[in-house]
Amino acid sequence: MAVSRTEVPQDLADLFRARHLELVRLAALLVGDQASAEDVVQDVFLKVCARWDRLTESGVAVSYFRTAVVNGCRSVHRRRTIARRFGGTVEAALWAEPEPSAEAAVILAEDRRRVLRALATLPYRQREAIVLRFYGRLTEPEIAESMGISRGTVKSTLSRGLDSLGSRLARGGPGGPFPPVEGEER
Amino acid sequence: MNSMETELTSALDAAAETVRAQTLRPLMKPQARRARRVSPWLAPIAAASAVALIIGLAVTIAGHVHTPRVVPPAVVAATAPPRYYIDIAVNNNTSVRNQPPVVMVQSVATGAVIGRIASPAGTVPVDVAAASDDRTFYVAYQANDGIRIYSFSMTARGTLTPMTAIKGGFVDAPDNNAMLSPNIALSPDGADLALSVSSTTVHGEQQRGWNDVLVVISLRTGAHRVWQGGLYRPGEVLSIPSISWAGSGTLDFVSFWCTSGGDTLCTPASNTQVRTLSVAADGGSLAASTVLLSASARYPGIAAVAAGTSGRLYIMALSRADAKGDVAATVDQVSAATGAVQRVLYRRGAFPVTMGPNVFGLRADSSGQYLLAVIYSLHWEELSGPGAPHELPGTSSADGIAWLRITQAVLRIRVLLWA
Repeated sequence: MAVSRTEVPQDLADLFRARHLELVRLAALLVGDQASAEDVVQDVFLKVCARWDRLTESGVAVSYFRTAVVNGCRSVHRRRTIARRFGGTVEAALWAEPEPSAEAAVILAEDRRRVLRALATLPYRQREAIVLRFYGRLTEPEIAESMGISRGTVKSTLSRGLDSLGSRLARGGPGGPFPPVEGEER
Repeated sequence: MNSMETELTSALDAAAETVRAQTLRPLMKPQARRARRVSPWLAPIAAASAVALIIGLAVTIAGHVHTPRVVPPAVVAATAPPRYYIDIAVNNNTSVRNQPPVVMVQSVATGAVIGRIASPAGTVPVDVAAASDDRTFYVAYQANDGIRIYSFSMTARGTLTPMTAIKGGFVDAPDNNAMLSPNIALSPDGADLALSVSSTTVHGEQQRGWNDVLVVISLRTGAHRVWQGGLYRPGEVLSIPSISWAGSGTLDFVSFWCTSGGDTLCTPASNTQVRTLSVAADGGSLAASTVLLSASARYPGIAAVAAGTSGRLYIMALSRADAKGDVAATVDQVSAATGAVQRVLYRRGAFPVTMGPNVFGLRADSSGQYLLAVIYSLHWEELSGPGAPHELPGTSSADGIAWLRITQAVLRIRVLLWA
């Protein structure tokens, strides 16, 4: 079934509606802020609309959504890295100070924030693998598919990432001297 | 799952829960396409935020001039523009699936994909360069343990050979961040490949730089010559975002220093420089380089340099255009000897950006007849017309581009594009 660019198939709309929050949350953990995360997912949605007729099985579609979101977040991160070199700024990270809201402050207590700040200092690929594993609860083959890398690379990336994270947490202690994360001014 | 992993899972779940369903913006439906002259990706762009879908347009500036009448007669005879370019497509518009970045050869005229090069397992392509034989190409890949350089060729029949690792094509970069992409450039004689890479020394202390090391690889022996140090400044972060060969044995590069460190914010870089370094020695300090051009009122931020022939430099500079934060960009031809402006090749007035000044890349060919620039957020309609800079089709989502000429030797144009 061919779909024009201005039509959104009902099954796609339903599927995306069901997955919208999940995808935005995944993206938010990768890019660090909700606004950018929503943009990434919006972009994915538009692309999927144009290709929906080729993605017929919902299982494939969900996997496709996730991979597309991961790729979109990676692109955002790359652009930010370059933008920073020329004085650009990025949105405050979810775990940055000051607290975005009292509610968030309760949800995201300092000890968790400390873990997230340490996570943010890892190389992006390691961070990506860790988020997919420990937030997305993906298996190594699923992570491999989402990141476009081999299972072995997933395993080594996760291992290195967890080792680095552990050493940084051990070194930093509560409120330790981690480098500031995206969006945090010194 | 050990205690740290439990703590990690809990922290990630908590952070995710700060994104609430009731705060999400509703998804926008695709917009109808405009009747004419609208690139397929403009509709998504209009709908999505620029942060998620920043598009860089490649702008070609023919013959450092736009019309034949202004080509200096003494310059070599005009040649046709290159027919193909290679790029690293981030969001491959032409594939069914949204694949990881992939190296593609595309037509300059139509953007049609001539071929795709599969990436080695566990790597992501980050930059490309073309050799003067028009048929050999180099790609820098980010791997877990560092940078790996591969090459591929185009056969006489126009087919692409598989990737092969070059001798000495591994640059150890422990803890290297994949997003701190290296720049690569091939020397005019094809003997050396230069890279600017990051030392990323994160050991509980401030990083000293992004791409703060220059490495020259001998393609014959695989030997590395390394230039590092000498330009670090206390409390600042050194970055080398652009490199270009000014003849064999000499490398020009852009350097700037940020006043904040780490993998974080870079405050406005007002102290950019174009420096030149003899790389004939076995390595050494970057302090051996000399300044060709410093930031000034005319060049408040030098973002890219391309060495041309006959002592010419091509400079891409950015400046704040207005209080809204819009940015202006210029591409000038200047004298490497005096810094005097010889010609304004391209000027773009205020254009909006969402993440600060953006200049992405600039490369000249050895004949001095073509320059390829990539500037963020240009509207292609304003650039079209006879003799004017124009967009390269099919580059809207490219990460890196190399032009190549198939029919004749000589031309090498490569540009780093951050879309």
